[in-house]
Amino acid sequence: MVRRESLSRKLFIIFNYTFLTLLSLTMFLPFLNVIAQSLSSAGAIDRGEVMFWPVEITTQYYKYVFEDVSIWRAFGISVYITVLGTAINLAATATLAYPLSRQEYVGRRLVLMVILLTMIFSAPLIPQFILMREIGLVNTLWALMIPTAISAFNLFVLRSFFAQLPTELIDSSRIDGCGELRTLWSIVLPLSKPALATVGIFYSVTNWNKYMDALYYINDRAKYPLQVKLRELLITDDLSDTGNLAFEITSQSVQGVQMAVILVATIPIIMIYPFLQRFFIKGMLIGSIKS
Amino acid sequence: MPKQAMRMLMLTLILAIAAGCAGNNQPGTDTGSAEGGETPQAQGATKFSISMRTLNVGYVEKHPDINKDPYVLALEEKTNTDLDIRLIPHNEYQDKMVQMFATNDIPDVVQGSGGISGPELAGAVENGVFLPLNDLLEEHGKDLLAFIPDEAWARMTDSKTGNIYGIPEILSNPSRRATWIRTDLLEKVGKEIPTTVEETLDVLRAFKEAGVEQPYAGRQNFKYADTFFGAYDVLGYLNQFKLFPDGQVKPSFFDVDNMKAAIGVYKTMHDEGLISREFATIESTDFRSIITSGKAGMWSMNANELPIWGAQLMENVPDARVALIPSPVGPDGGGGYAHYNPVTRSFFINKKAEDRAAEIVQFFNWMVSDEAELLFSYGLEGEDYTVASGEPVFEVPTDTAGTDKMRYLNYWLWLVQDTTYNKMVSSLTETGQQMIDAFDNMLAHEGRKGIEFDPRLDALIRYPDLNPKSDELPPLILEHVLRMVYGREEIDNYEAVLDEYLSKGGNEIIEEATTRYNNKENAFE
Repeated sequence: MVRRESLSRKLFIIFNYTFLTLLSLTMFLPFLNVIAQSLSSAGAIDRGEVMFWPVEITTQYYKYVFEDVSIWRAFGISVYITVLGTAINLAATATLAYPLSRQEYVGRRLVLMVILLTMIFSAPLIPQFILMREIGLVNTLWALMIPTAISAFNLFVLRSFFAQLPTELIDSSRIDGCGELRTLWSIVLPLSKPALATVGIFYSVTNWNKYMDALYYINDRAKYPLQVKLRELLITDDLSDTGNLAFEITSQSVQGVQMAVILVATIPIIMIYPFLQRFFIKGMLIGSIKS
Repeated sequence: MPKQAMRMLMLTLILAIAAGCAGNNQPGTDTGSAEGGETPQAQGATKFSISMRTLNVGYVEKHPDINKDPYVLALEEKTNTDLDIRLIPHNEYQDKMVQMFATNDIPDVVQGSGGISGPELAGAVENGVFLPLNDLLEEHGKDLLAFIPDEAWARMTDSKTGNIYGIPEILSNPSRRATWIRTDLLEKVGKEIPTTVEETLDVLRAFKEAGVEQPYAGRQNFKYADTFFGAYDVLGYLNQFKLFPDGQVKPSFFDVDNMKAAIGVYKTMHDEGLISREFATIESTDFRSIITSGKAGMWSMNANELPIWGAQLMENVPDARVALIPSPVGPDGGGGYAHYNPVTRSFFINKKAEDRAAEIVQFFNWMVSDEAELLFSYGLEGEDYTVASGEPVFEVPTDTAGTDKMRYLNYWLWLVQDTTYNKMVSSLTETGQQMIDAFDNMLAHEGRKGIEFDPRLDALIRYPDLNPKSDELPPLILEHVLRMVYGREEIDNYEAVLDEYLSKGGNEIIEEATTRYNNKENAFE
């Protein structure tokens, strides 16, 4: 009995490893190709010789990218929006999730219903733009951070997490004389680090990838985030047809430069993930064990 | 007590945030930052805002603030104006323009692309957003009237009222694409430059025997690979409607015999390997790589790319030589590619800027002067060129920064010009002179044109499957043609394809086209 089990188990393990290795290769190899292209000469790229290793190594593209002030400014703007934006997101979401998670909050159901409504219906572009303009947020970076401060989905995640905390803790802090804000800050939040990290990562990635909003609300080119700048460099408008041929783009930017810019834009996010990974795992597990 | 204090603190915080956020408000986008020059402008400099598409010009897109650019400042000085340039991102041009009109955020001058009914204008002309310019042009724009040909003015005129609504930037030579061939390969196989379709096929066969990977560079949807459709005059694009002997105005692919012949040519090429078997998946980046890496023998591309693509090709393949040749001719002795719109960009003046309209027209009028030509071709005296015995001396830059700047000046900042080629710059290099020669002596005599409807026929919008692009066949026809070329469908089946076209809405299209042509309603030939 034992031998048969271990044989099939061994096969299963071998199959598992092979399958997962192949799967991860399909995701990793194209990325390797991008890195290789960013370091290869233009001639080699044109001839299609570049596979997974740079051919005729050159650093000219990186030099070009590093010297381009507008890319760095866009990079800085993206970092600014991500850091400050995520902070605003977390503050707003946590302060809204906390009362919604308490049974004793009187208007709870109504507020939850309204929030649910916003998940289903959303305003079309033009009225939203006019609203932004009247408030005075157009052409500022706040337009990218404040209107989307609370995502209903993340709110619900955080709310369910808060609801799970033992009410005895909250009650005891109230007995000790803490106000609600103090309770939130000193008791609830420290216990919710995994959930906050998870929600925080979701928000950060959304903020880092912010593109459509920036395009519509921001007119000043100095305030473009990195994604808009990337798109300008990478995508040539071969697809749409305005009926006027004279604007067709026949010479695109050099492919090597495109690859180098892609790397410059992606590396930061890739570097942050490993550090926050342990929170994911913790966050997933916390909900599974009942205390 | 702590609770009270907490409440007061909260209140104070909220008020502080509100005050802080209010301080961050920009004063709306209408005023913008027109402070382009800290240097005080000359008395009475006309201030106006103008929206312009970036056209993917690197210099513009990388610039921290285009309104402070030395060339823009020089332009302002020479024309006594104070510009507030508002850049519109190239790829999102249409969306941003529509948003601009919908939110009534319209600058004093709006740049459009093409005539008065482009989708980016969102009906602005019909709704009276812009000034009619007839009288202003008579008084302040005489040079413009002289420089710009009638067919370009026709595109800017509302046929019902006769009002001219915009100032066009023109393209005098509508034949923009050419047939290119590798003359070194031609020499190697010992053949002459082909003139007819049959001769061309022979040359391609010889190329194939000599080992050329892609004798004719094919591309997806026959875009930039339509040499042989042009030879038989069956291009079928948006501006290729024809008056047929039966009195109806139909797309040119209704010429059954010629269409079958053209499809037959492509099928032969596919079967004999003269065009890549995967041509239907080759996109623009690969297309360019294939050509510049020396794998192609013959292809179609814009003639003004000769200096750039030619240089790149010779860098990759030192022995390569390339030349522009007359396109292969079909049974009627003609050939070439679809003609382009005579108007490239166009500039409209907002009714709200009526008080400054005269000066704005004068500003555009200056654009066609010699002084303007010098500024936009070479740049600033002393910085970009020197003057020797009264003549400007200029060296064409070869570094990336220099070529970026040239593209910006020649092509973007010069608002009204003949965009065929820049004479002053091109005449300085050998490849440039070859290009000028090709344009003036060869391309001017070839090319296919038909009847164009601007605004587009309503029926075309209703039936997207039958809607051609400016350089591609309608999806329905294209699909069948591709199947025939790949051997999945019989070419003799073509009449059935046309019947399918008619039954799926083609009849309405033809009816509307014929009516509009007979009524001369915005039908351009």
